[in-house]
Amino acid sequence: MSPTPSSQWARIGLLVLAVGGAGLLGGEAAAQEAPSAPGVVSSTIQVSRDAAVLELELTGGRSLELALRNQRVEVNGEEVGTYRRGDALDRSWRDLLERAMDREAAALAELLLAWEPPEGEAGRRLDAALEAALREGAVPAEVQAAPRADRDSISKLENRIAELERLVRDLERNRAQRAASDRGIRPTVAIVGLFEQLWRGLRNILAVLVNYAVLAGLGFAIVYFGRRYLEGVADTARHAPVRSGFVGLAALFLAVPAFILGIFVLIVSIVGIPALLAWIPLFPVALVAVAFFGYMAVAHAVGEALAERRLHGPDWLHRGNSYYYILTGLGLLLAPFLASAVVSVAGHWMSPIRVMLGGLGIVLTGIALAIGLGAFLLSRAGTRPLTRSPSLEPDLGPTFEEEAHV
Amino acid sequence: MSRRGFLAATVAALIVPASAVAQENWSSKVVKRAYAGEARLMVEVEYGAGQLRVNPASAADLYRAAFRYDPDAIEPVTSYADGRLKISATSGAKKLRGISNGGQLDLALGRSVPVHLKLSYGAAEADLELGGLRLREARIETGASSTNLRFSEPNPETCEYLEIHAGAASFNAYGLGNSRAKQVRLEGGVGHVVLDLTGDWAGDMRVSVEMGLGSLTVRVPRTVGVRLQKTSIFAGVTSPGFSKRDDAYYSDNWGSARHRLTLDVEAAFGNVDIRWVD
Repeated sequence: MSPTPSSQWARIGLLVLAVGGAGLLGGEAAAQEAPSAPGVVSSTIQVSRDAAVLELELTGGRSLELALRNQRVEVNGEEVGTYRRGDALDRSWRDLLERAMDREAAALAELLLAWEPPEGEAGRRLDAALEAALREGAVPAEVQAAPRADRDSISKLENRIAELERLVRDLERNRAQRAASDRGIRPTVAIVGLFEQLWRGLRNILAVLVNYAVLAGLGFAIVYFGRRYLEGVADTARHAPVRSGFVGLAALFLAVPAFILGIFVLIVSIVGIPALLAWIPLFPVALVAVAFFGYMAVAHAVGEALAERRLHGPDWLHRGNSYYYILTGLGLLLAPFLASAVVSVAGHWMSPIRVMLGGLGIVLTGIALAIGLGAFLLSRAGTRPLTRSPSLEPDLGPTFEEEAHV
Repeated sequence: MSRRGFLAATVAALIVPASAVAQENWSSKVVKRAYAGEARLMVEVEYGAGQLRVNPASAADLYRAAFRYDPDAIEPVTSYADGRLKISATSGAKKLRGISNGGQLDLALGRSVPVHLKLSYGAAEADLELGGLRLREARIETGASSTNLRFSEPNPETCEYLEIHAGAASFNAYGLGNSRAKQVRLEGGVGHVVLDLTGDWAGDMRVSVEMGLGSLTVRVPRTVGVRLQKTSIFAGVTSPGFSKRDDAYYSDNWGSARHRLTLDVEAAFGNVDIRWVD
């Protein structure tokens, strides 16, 4: 597409401004006083993997930048040669800069002047620039580099022009798109939107599945290492769910006061102050760990309850194995989240159902956490599980004694 | 697989990606300026995380700042104009772990120029040697850090004030008598604080301490007369060798001492221990 007349005029204006600005700056540079006594006022040395740069601020307001940067040898930003990483020039220059880092600012010139560059044109140019700046107090004419402040200004101006040109191009592109849409060539936004929606839905499903896999993995680890305790907590959660839930809720509410009280007690005891360093981070960690353990126990209990039901289903559903209990229990607890993710594929019109299912998942998780925490506490970490007592066996009705007439 | 093997595999799975991420590309940057008769040097340093060292430079240097940093995480910025030096090397939360693992700032300040210092740093390990500097005033703000502040040599100037805001920190200050500070103010959040007031005293000093939660130890030379005023909520204050008059505690040599220390301690929770040093 050819540029419009207005944008061409804008470019011409910018170029005139740039040339004028550069001329003005160049004039200012020429008007500067000739240096008399060379010396280093300040220095900046930067060494990284891709660059080794020396910036000098010299007396009389002059400056010099010598750099080995990205295979280019530069004097005040102008390329005077090339180098390869690790070649003789690179090594020698980096070695010089390393030594210069430890040298006093006033004694830096002496060190730099003593530098002997390795064979090669680029090294000779660097050395010549140093010699010229530090002995004669001038940057060599052969590199024809503008003083640093001016160069910065010009480069800023050039950057600004490039930015403005980019803006002009963007504007032109936008206008072309608007014109195209006016002619009925509107991009197929609806199709793109559909794919985005599908992708978002699939991403949600994947996130739930990943969560499920991670939780199942952690659950397996718990079964592997502490099956006895997990089953103890799970039994308690199954046989006393209401009691466990209330105890868990009470524990959650009391956790913060207990935490603060613990801090207070340790402080008042004076000798317990060092223990604060353990108490403050470990208490919340322990609470989270216990709640997580309880959640897994509830998943185990749910899985076990499901397996015990005489459902008509696949055989694996009825297997009596803690790993299967964890898998099926977690699956049930996460099912609302998965359903919510599946519904989200359908798009915004299903949002109420998606939100409802997500809310159900959150409520279920909260209940499971409360029951799990309570069961953990009631069963003393699963060591003393609560099981159904004989008195709670179903009442079979009154019994009658038969009279015996013998 | 045995249980031990299972555990080892899990730990390895967690550690290997972390170590793979930890490959930083370190760079060095040194900025220095020669002393040219400046009337004063005002220094402002903002440092995020890593190791921070401050030392006196040679008399010929005005300052020298040496950075070791990961260029993917931060870009150290220094600016100097009219006796005002600003140094910044912060990164927000980005790659904080990497910075704290190896980032470093060595700052040396000239001995020839009066210095006004303002240091702010976050999760840093700071080693500050301010002895020998011509320190006029200093303000130090720390985050969750560990700081050792030393005045190994006397300050040739009088320091108008030394202000310290220590967050959740361990803060140890040694040789504060050499600081020649008229006023020292410490606000401590949570942590362990040591104020060692030994050194070459040139005048009286007023020290005020506000502690939140933690322990504070104040070491006072026995030759200095001390007036102690303490306010504590749930803090125990140990101060042997003091007698109470009116609303304050006085050391026995208060009337005869050449130099005097007025110490105001406000502590909420924790332990305050005042010790005499021979």
